[in-house]
Amino acid sequence: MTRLFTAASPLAKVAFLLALIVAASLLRHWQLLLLVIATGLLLVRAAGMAPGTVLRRLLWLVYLSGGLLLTLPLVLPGQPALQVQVGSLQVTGSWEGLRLAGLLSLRMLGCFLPALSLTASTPLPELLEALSRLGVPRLFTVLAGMAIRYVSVLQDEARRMNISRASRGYRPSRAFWNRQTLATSAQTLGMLLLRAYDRSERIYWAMLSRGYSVRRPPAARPLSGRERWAVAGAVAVTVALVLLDCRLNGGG
Amino acid sequence: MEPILVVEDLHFRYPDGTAALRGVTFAIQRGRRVALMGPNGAGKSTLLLHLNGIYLPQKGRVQVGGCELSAATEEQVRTQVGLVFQDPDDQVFSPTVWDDVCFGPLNLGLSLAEVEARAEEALSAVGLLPLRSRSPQRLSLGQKKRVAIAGVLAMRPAVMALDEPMAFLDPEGQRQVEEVLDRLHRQGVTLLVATHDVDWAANWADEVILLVEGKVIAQGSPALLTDPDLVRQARLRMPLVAQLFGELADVRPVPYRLEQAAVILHRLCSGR
Repeated sequence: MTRLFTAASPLAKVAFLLALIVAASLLRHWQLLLLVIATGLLLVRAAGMAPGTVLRRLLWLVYLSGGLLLTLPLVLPGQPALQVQVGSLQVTGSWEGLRLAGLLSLRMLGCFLPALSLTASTPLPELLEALSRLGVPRLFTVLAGMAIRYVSVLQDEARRMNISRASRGYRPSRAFWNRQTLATSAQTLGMLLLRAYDRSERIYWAMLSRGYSVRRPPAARPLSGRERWAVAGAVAVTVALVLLDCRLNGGG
Repeated sequence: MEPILVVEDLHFRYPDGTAALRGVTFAIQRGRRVALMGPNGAGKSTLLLHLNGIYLPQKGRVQVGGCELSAATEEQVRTQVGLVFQDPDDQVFSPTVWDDVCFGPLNLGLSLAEVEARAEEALSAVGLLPLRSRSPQRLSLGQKKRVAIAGVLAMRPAVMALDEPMAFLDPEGQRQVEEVLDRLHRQGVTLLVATHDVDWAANWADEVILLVEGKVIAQGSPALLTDPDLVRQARLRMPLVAQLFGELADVRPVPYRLEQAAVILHRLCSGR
């Protein structure tokens, strides 16, 4: 399955995984959401990701879900699920809030797992090309590609600045509010911003010098017959899942 | 023969008031290898940006292949003069080497088959075709410089202007870039290289242009680099070969290239 998944056409993969992500963000029935999550887990496994890496990436989701579980029951009115007395104040959490937090958490997981499998199994250039051919505006894919390309350049610049500061005896204080540490961090960030601004100007010049013009965005390659079928299949999966969800929820 | 590049009385002042160019005048014949030399802040990079139409003349004129640079002709001029920037990270911005080399030809509105043929030819010329699918951040500095050159080469310009192409390269990287430049020269491309490296310029260039404080103080053969007054005025130094043979009073004219020095040494050793 791993071989099949990694060898699949990037466009078909992107189309199907986007379909799963869209479906997961619309579904309301938890059994269907669990089905999407199970599919996502299988895909992550097929993408060859180590369980430890997946769990580390899921940690962010745990924080987000925790935040939702803590706040939504308190702000959504409904049948009381738990009551806590804080001094003279009585705090009530509702079942409706808990249910909504659970639903949103399942949806996030349902969206996250296919996205994880996609980025783990598809090189970035192929991913951006596939998105562009699926109709995502070229400007967005070019900007995303450039942002990712230059993150490493900025990281290198920040690393060189850190080394040069350390070579002159600078040691950041462990206390976050240390005045010198704060000032130095702010200066570093400011300098990085200025350098990024200067670089962006030079990049733009370099683009202009090779004939770039906003008026002439290069066209994406059209879809082949097989790729059109893949996209149609992906759309059908989304529609089928959403219709099934409506039916299970009594057509509402 | 009509020069391919003509710059006449070119002036440019930055918005903060700094006068970068103060009446630059020179002409370059087709197929020449020219080193543009001068100290930091002489205006070399600003001048190169004019040749490609990134900056337009505030006063004076720039003419490329008979076409005068203006707002109306800047896109046409860009197809004639390719500009390779000093830092390849400024220039090579696409997710893969292949995409980056295709960028220029795509902007020319060529067919996909033509774009791919040009990209393949350009990458072969710099010896990087096997790395076509690589991400630029995974390349060495020398490889990135060659990708930047390929990206410009794919536009098939008549003139290539390169800003410090040897900067920060190890000897192997410098040799590879020099090989690419030699190949382009053999193909008839006019090369204009901004550099501080007097030893390299003396050995490589057919002609040097000395730029100081936004003005050309001399243009001619690399023998100019053996003139102590001129070299001092340009805040450069003489090539090491010229420094060594300058000490020997009876060796005139002073050599500036290794092969010239080798001939003289051979003559001295054989007692002729």
